[in-house]
This record gives sequence, structure tokens and C-alpha cells, in this order.
Amino acid sequence: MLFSSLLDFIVAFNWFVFGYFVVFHVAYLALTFLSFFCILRYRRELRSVFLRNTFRWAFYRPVSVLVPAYNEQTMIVDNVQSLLQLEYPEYEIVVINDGSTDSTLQRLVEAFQLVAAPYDVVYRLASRKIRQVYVSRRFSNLTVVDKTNGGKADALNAGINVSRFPLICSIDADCMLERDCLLKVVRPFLRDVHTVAGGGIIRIANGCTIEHGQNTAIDLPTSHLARFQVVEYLRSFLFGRVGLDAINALMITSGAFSIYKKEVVVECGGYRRDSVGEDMELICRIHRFMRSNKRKYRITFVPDPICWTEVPESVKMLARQRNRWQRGLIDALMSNRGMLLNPRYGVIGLFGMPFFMFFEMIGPIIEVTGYVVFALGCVLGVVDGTFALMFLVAATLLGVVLSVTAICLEELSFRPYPRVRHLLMLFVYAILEQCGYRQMHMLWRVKASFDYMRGKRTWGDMHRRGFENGNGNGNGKLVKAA
Amino acid sequence: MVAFLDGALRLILQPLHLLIFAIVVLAFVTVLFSALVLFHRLWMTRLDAHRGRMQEQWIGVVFRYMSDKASAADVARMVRLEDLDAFTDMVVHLIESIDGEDRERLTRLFEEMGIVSHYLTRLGDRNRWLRIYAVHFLGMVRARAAVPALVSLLEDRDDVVAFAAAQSLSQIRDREHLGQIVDVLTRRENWSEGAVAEILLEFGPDVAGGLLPLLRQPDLLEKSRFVVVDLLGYLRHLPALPTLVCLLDETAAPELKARILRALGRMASPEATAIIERYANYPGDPVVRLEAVRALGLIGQEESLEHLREALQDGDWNVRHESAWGLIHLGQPGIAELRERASADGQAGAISRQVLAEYEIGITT
Repeated sequence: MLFSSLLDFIVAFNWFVFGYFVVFHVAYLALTFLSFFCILRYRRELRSVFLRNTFRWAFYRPVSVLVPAYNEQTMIVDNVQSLLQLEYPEYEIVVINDGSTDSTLQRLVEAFQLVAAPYDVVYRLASRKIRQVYVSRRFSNLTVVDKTNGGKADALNAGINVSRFPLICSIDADCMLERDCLLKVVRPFLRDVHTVAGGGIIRIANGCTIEHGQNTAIDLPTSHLARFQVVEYLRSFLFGRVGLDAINALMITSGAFSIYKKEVVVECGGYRRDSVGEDMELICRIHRFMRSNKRKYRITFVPDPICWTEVPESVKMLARQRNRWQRGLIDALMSNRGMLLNPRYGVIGLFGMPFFMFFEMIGPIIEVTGYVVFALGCVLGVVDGTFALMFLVAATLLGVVLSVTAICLEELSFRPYPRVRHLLMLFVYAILEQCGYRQMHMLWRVKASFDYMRGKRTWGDMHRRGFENGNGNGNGKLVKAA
Repeated sequence: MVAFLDGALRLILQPLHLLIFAIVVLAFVTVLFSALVLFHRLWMTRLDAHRGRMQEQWIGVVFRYMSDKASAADVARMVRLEDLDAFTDMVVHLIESIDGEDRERLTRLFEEMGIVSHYLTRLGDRNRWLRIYAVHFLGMVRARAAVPALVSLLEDRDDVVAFAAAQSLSQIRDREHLGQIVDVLTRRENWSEGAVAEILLEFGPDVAGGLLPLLRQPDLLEKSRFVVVDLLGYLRHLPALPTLVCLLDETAAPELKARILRALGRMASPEATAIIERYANYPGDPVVRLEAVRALGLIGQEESLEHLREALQDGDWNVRHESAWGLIHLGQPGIAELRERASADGQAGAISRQVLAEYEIGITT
């Protein structure tokens, strides 16, 4: 009887997985094609007349760029150097040294001639104690905040407390921005006064040549793991988020690069300090706040490649990162689960939340369980072996189609990788991604789900190699450390 | 045929066969997409290489034309019809970085080669992006022959086309239709303030005279009113001072008050000091107080010292910071005032110490 029930369960679960699989891929394919048309339109608009001299105009929106930094001694100087070269009429850079135990602060002091200065900090948002504020003798728009350690969200709140301008842009310390990124990402705020937040595309800097804080030659990473991530970033960033933006259901920008109206962030209470996915959690909270208060708003995504970041090249670091991302996602969704299927929250409640919950949050568990149950079904004879094999091949091919479509659309839109061999390499890794990397990724995310249920809330250490060639001057390729 | 299709469907719709069919389709799609992409990349690489070679030749003959050593016919002989857009892009890129007689020569080249006529024809194309690019091109080369067509496009239902037409007319400096351009710009709701302002600024300071009467139009869009006020301040159009002062008291909208105060600050006319001082302790929106103290700092009258000193205790950080810098801009009396405040506790003391440190380090606002 029990055995019979087990067999029934296996059959029913397999059908459920099959249906889930079809819905999942159809949704992503639809998002991909929606993104394609949005990106084509965006590129055509860029070629048209809007932006040529807009910032000759005196009444632009000044921006505060916030850079939380914890033990970033290898990259912080490069990062700030690239920020100081941004093309934008008025902006400030606020680096928040979040109690680093390495020489992050010392490197900043030496590189930018910082001096301690009194600062009238207004604690509009809760954050740990600010020990000292430094200003630069050379760069009047650079401020460094030294505070006790409290985590990234806490550091960002402190940065907001020190910032002066109405727009805040948070970026990671391991990112490099394109010179015109602020121009592009502020544009939605100029076109539509209801825009309250936005994000941009993150590209992978591994393998690129970084000189004086700028990406001067784009190349693919040398490591296999980073190459898989290039394909992954293309698929999820470029086409997942652009598609969601098109239907106004964007629920995540990126912690590495995002921009907000400061007043809205303050009204929502700032970043939640006990969250490891503070970026998504804030976006969800903004959605909830604005819709609950019946305020017209827009959260937008700029599909231009404007930010370059280093990705992990070791399995251990990547696993740690993805674990944190998944826990952050779960935390953000569970904290705002009141919006799920709630018509009061419009497209967010009826599409955005279900999409992320069923495909991103629960999806890895379903997929991994599906592998196990499917295999069990084959062993017990309830699933035909040939059918199982064919299904696996179809599933793999469908994953490849999604990735290849993303590469195809990238080629037809921005084409940052200049060589034909880059393209061929991306195709190869789009196929190989389905043969182990994806499965490994799913396992990490399942583990993360269990970690979340057990109450794990830490970030973990991330080791950065930096953009240096060993002599600390910020030039040279991003290569493996010796 | 029907029997065949029916048989095929029955065969495919068995689960296993359906899967195999799906695999074949997916594999085909993967290979097709990959091939398309590779073909596109190879084709673009060849095209870029070809255009690179052609551009080297075009640059040479264009410069010979500009030195009167070659005719337009000589240039036209080197440009094939299919390369016309690339040639146009190259020369437009040159035009963007030059002015004066050289720019006029290049415009003449386009006219003699028939390229201006070609793009005039494109103004009626059904493809909106071709229309937009044609409008953009005609503005870049300042083709006066295009003015009538561009004026009619101001009323185009497509916002992007109409905006492009307005911008092209501004580049051509078509003052004859300035009134029409201003009317269209201030009536359209979908254009951002910055975009509208940029177009109007192309006409130079003379545009201010045409904007001032708009302030008294009751049906003017709020966004357009902001642009007009901002522009009058940016251009330091002093004849607008009395109107702005009246409007400052008449309007209840804090944002408009703030913009007027900002404009008055830029005009830096001492005549406005008395009214600006009244807004240094405006009870409502802190942005109004911010612009008021900023304006007082820019005007730099010593009589404003008392108001700036009081603003050091404002509840809003930005107001305090701006008023402290306003005191710095008053010179020695203001700096002395700040030094005195710096020794005190409280918000006024903290902001005074901060701004004095910024001043001494050499940071400017």
C-alpha cells in the first residue's frame, strides 16, 4: 500500500515537474523576447537626439555615489579612481569604510590625501557609530566615512546620512563604472518624475584590461567558472531584468549598482540591517510602500552595459556568493510576502512576487527534487528509461536555447565582446553550462534555502584579487593571483 | 494530404515521440540561432573593415574638397549608394566638432552631392526611425531648405519625431519660427524639462525675451513654467526680475517658489534681496529655504548676514550647510560669524565647524 502510494507520488511529482519545467521556460523565453524589443528601442532612442547636450543644462540632479567597503584594500583605490573620472556635472563620492580590519582606510588616505574633518552628521537612518569623516585635499567631491562594522546595509545607511544630494547611487567596492554611466542611469529620472529607483547591467571584468580605473580592452575570463558566469549574467541580467522592467514588475536591481531617490529610501526606513539581500529587500519594500500609499512610481532598468565587476573564480567563493544571494532572495520575498497574489499590489503582487517565489525561490528545490524523484522513478520502473533520457536531453537543450538566445540578442544589441572567438567560446559555454554547472548551482541554492531555514544570516568572507598587476598602481589585466 | 497530416500528428503526439520532436526542434533552433549570430558577426566584421578602408579614402577627398582641390562630384564618385549612411555618419561626426566656414563647406558638400535632398525625401518615410534620423541629420548640417518640412513635423503625433524636429530647428537657429517652437515645446506633456531647456538654449540668450510673456499664461503646463523660470535665471534675464518677484508671492506651490528663488539667486540682483530674505525662514518645504539662503549667498549682501546666521539653526541639514557657505561668500564678516558659532554646541556649531574645515581645506561648493 505504502509502495503503491510511493509510486503514485513519483508519477504525480514527475508530471508536476514536467508542467513546472514547461511554464518556467516559456516564461523566460517570453521575457527574453520582450527584452529584445525593449533593447532595440532603447538603442534607437540613444541614437536619436535626447541626450547629446542634456548636461550642459544647469539643473541636472546631483548624485551621491555610495561605496560601502569592508576589507577591500586590493580594489578600493582603483574603484575610487574610476569613480572620480565619471562624466557628470555634479556628484559626490562617499566611501564608507565599514570597520575594515585590513588597510582599506590607509590606502584611501594615502592615495587621495584625506584629512579628518568635523562633519555634522544627521542620523536619519539607523546605523552604527561613525568614528570619523575624512575629506580629500585633492578631490572636493570625495568623502570617506570611517565607522564601526555593521554590514553592508548599515554602511549604506551611514552613507545616506552623510550624503548631500537627492539621488543616491550605491555601488560595490569591486565595481568599475563606465564614464557615462551616471548620465545613462539618471536619464529615466529626468524623463519621468515618478521614477524612484533604477539599476543597470553588470558585466564581468575578469579577463579585461583595466588601466587607470577604466576598462580599456574587453576579453573573456580565462577561468571556466567565470566564463559560465558570463553566460549566466547575460541571461539573467540583460534579458531577465529588462523584460521585467518592460511590464513594471522589476523586483531587483543589483546591489552592485543601483540608484534611488534618497527621500523615498528614507521614507521607507532605509536598508534593513539584518538582511543579506538588502538590495532586493529595499526594492520590495519600496514597491509595498508606494503601492500602499497609492503613489505613482516607477522602478526602471537601464539595459546599457555600464558597470564591470569581478566575479569569483573559485568554486568555494562562488558557492558562498550564491548561497548569500539565495538567502537574500528568500529573506526579501518572505519579508514582503503580504504582497503575494494580493491585487492591491498590482502587477507586483499578481506577477512579480509569484514569479520570483515559484521560479527563483522554490525553483531550485523543485529542480533538485525532480532529479532525485525522476531517477527513483526510473529505478522503480514507473518512468520509462528512454523517456527519461529524452526528457533530460530536451530539458538540457531548452536551457541551451535560453542561453544561446541571450547571446544572440546580446550580439544584435551591445556586442561588448569584439572577437569572433569570444562568440564561439560563449556558445560552447552555453552548452557546457547545462552539463554540471547549472546542477551545481542548483545544489548551492537548495543548501542556501536550508541555511535560511536554520537562521543563517551572515555574509561570509569574499576574497578579491583586484585589478592590480602586483605593484598596486591599478594597471594591468585581471589575472589569477599567484 | 489530410490523412498524412493526421497520421503524422498521431505519431508525434505520443509522449516519447513528442519529446523527440521537441529535441529536434530545439536542436535546430539552437544551431539556427548560433549560425545567425556567427553570420551576423562575420558580416559586421567584414562591413566594419570595408568601411574603415573607405573612410580613409573619404577623409582624404573630403579634406581636399574643403581645400578647394576637389569638387563635390569627385567626392560623390567615391561614395556608393549602399555606403551613403556610413559616409554621412562620418561627415556628421566631423561637423559636430567644427564650426564657422568649415562647417558651412561641409553642409554645401551635402547639398551638392544631393544628400540633403535624399534626407528631405526621407522625412516622409513610413519608418519612424528613418524619419527621426533624417530630421536629426538635417539639423546637424543646418539645412535651411528643410525648415518648412521641419516646422510641419513639430505637430507630428509622434513625440520623438516632433522633439527631433524642434531640436533640428534650434540647431538651424530658425528664429522666424521660434514662437511656434516655444509653443509646441511648452504644450507637450511627455518631454522632460531638461530636453525642452536644451532646445531653447540653442537659440542663445535672445530666447529669454520670448519666454517671459509665457509666465503670465494661466494654462501653461506646470513643467513648462518651471523650464521658463529656470531658463530666465540661467540666462540672467534681468527684465524678468519684477515678474518673478510678483510670481514668488502669488504662487502657493513650493517647487515653483524654490525655482524662482534659484533664478533670482543666479541673477544676483541686490534689488531682490529683501524679498528673498523673507523666504529664508519659510515655514513649509525646506527646499524653499535652501534656495533662499543659497540666493542670499550668491548675491552676497552684508545685510543678509543676520538671516544667514539664523538659518544655521534650521532643522534641515542642507539649509544649514548652504547658509554656512553663504556666510563664507560674504567674506570676512561672514567668516568671523562662522568662527564665533563654531565654538558653540548644537547644530549651528557643528555645521559651522564643518564648513570652516571645508573652507580651510579648500573644498568649494
